[in-house]
Amino acid sequence: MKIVVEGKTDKGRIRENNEDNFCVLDKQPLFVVADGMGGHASGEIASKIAIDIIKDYFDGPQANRQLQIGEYKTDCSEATNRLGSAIRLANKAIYEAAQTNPLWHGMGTTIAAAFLNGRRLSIAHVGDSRIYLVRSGDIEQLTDDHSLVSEQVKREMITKEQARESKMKNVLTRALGVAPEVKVDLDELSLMQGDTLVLCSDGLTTMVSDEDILSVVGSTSDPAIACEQLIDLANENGGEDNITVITVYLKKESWFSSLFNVKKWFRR
Amino acid sequence: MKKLGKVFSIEFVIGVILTLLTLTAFYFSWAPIEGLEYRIYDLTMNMKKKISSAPVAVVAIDDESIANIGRWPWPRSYIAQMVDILQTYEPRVIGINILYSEADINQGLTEVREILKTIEAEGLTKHKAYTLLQEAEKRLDNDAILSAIIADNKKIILPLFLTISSTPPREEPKMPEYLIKNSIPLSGPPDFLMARDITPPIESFATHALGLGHINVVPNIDGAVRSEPLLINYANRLFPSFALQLVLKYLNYDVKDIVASQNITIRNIRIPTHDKHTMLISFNKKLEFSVYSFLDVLGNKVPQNAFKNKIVIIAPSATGLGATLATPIGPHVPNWFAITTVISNILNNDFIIRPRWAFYAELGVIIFFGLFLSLLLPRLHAGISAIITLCLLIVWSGVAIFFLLSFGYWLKLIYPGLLVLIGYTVIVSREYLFTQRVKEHIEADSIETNKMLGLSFQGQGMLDIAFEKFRKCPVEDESVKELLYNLGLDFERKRMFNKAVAVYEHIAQAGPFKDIQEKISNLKAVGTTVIFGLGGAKKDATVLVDSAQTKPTLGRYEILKELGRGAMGTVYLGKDPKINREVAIKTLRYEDFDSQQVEELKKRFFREAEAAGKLSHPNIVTIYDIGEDYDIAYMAMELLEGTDLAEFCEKDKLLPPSEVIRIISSVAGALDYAHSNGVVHRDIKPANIMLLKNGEVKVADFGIARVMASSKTQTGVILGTPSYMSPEQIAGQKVDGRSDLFSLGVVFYELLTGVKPFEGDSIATLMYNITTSPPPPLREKAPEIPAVYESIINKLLAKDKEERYQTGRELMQDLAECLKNL
Repeated sequence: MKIVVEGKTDKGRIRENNEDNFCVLDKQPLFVVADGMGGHASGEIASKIAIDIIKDYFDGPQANRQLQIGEYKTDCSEATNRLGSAIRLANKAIYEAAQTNPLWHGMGTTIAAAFLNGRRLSIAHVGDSRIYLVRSGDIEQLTDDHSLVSEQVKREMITKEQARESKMKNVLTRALGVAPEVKVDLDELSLMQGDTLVLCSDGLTTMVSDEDILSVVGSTSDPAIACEQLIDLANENGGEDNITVITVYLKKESWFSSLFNVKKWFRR
Repeated sequence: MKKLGKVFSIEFVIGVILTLLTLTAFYFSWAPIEGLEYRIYDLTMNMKKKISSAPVAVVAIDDESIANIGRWPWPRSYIAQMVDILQTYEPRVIGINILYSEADINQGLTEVREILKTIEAEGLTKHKAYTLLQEAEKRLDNDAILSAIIADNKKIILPLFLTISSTPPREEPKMPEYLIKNSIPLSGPPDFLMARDITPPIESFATHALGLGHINVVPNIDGAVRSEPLLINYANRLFPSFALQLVLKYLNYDVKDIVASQNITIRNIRIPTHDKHTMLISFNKKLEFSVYSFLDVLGNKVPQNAFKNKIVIIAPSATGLGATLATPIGPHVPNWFAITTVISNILNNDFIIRPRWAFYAELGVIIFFGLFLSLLLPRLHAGISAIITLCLLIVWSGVAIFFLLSFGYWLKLIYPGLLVLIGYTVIVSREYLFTQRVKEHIEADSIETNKMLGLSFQGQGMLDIAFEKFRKCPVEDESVKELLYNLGLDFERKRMFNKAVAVYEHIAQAGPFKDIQEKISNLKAVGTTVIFGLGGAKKDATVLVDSAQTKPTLGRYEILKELGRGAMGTVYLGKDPKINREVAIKTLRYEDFDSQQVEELKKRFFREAEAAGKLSHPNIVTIYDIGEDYDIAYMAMELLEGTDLAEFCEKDKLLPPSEVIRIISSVAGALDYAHSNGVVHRDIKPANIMLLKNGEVKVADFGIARVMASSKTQTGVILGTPSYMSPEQIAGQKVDGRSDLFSLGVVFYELLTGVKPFEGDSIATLMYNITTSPPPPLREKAPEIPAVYESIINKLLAKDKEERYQTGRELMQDLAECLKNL
């Protein structure tokens, strides 16, 4: 299986700055999208801290330490727990940073992270950044937004239509960095060839419907083009918020690359 | 409650469960543990050093005898011959450990008898052949020979066999005389082994024998024989064992001398008994008694006094002949060894006892160990707990073994021992597995995480937090020193020399490192400058004030000290040197913001400050001056001595309702004035309302919230807990004076009741409650408050701002009305 991935971020049409951040690690496939919030550009700081910490956790000088932070979920794999630990560490970092500077007080960030261990995908998220799985012409949202409206929809206080119109769409119930501890939603699943993952901030999802995401992702097999088109689409629809998209295509290895592998086989 | 929870920790539960399990096993003598117990018992038995002896001589029918005399079974006349020979050695008593339960069937004898019968029928009795045949018949009738010898000898004890069963014989058997003679009637509780059938020797032997004793053995669960059933109940008569009979006859006692009650007493001998009146056999490898080969005795090759006054046991011991027993001292101990041991035990008064207190002692030790496991062990350090556990084990086994060897008191040491061993293993390994997890977490928290966080913060340019993090790591660690050193360099780069010195000095605590000493002295020379402004991170633009003698100033104000940190920056105590007035100076440092934002922010700050500065009202904190110095915007305002209302929001510190009304009324007045001047407070909360020492009420921070809240529509801002926000604020709609009144309503409610009208376990529910649910009725929370308050509160907290008081004045009027009625 070959992984092709691309991430892009855009500040949108309205905002003056981009508080989103993302990272894509190739060596051990890790994809993270963070959408910062808070006054005085502290959102940018929060999302940057989050991305840096998570990146460091997986690929920094201390990466091999495998610190377990917070509760170890026995029903999840080691990899998933590592992802959870990384996010909890980021939460701690943001929270503590926020404590030192009154201007940063209340800064926070959403996070959506995916880690690929062979075919096994670990996902984790906090807030309203989402992870989608596109598989055989269907799109499935793998994450549950931690937002007031999604909570209200879940409790059947309002309908989905009302939710779309709600003024409180931007109110989160959970975010990284606003409290010393954070509950991270963890999950894992197995991927197949031909699957596509989309990680995005709410700048995309509030502007572009799931169906449109599906059709864009399905229309190309080049992640760079997919990202570009998704961002363009969001901007065309208003671009009210920063837009960040990572698309991950899981491709069948082409015949010549397998030939390459055969060579390797002989070399052994 | 928490303490209680700690006592009932998981270790405690494990300890209790294990103890209960052990007690159950102990009570029911659970077979596997009982087996282990026997093992220990056997080991201890083998440790015996004492030599014991018995007046016993065994005439062993060994391999050699068989080889020389002929195949087994021998004609009974051989045994008769042996008895005859033994007679001359004057033994006290002879036991023949061979069960003769059937008459001897002898082909020759039958033939001879047939012939004799024929001769008698023919009447040829006078013939010489007849006499010869009659003599032959006599010689051939082994039973007759043996029985004659037995009768003649009068010292012979013969074995009998009982079929052990839990049920009595089906019908009362007719007991022949010789059985009655060799048994005693059952008395007392029938706590004996029971037999349902008896196999005595043939009548002609039995009637002449001096005594009969059973040769039953009762192995334990593991197949080993450790006890002797001294008496067995058959048809309500107690039959003594073969060994006991030998002892009785040796001592010239009679079966009737046996008294079986709690123990078994025979005149002056008291035999302590165990379960079912069995006697625990005190086996000893070093038992002294003599064994002679049957062949040697037959050939008169034994010393003259070999059997004199002894108990002689004739027993088969050749391979394949004699029964062997598994015993504590070996798996194949000949039967007669066990018999001899029993005799020795009884005669030497060498008994093994389960004293009656043993059960309670063991119970006590189990409970003691259980308590140790569940209460003490989880609280001990690993090393100490291991030592203590080991000590307990050693002491307990030492005591148990000592008792067994020295006093013959058998204590079951396995139950408590196993409990403490398993309990220790389980609890410690559990602790290891689980606490290790937690420890890993904590340790990660303290060192590795701190390193990682520190590095990240340093990478973000947040050097202060990075230092704070690194400081939590052990400075002795070389890698930590390196990290700190790099941090120090970063501080230097940012010209934060005193911070750099602090870092280097921190490293220096753990000894010299690289060139830090040099650096410290260099930097200290530079550091005649003091650095003004505390906290915050991005200090690129920190104000440097030359030399410490000059007081730092902001604008024309001298900065005396820091008063605290506010939402937007540090608050200092300042002094206006011209009019010698002390002021509070709120600062807004905008080096913390992006340069693009600074202009906008500055504009907003001054606009708001200007608006607020215009306000002149007795209940509004007066702003004297605003200005900008270096990169710090500041606001000089009235210095107030008092506390804010946050203090009075707790249930037990509530102010009286009349005082609350006065305060709310004052705030309402202040708000009314401000609103009519076009200034909305936006952040009315107890912390922003000051109650001065002289009772005055002052509202602080007008419009500041506006400055602080980003004007740009952020993704979503959650600033603390928005308990005092109005529904329209939460929804992000336009905010006016009526929102302030809503917030004041929340404050009012809280001051009266000590609880907030809207609460939720999460921000989401709280926000939902503010926007949709009505507040819980005031009088539910504080029943003593007059009903009129309820309507005021409800009006203040109306979701729709059209339904609220439209101005502060309206509220004041209602409150005044209220106060009159109070």
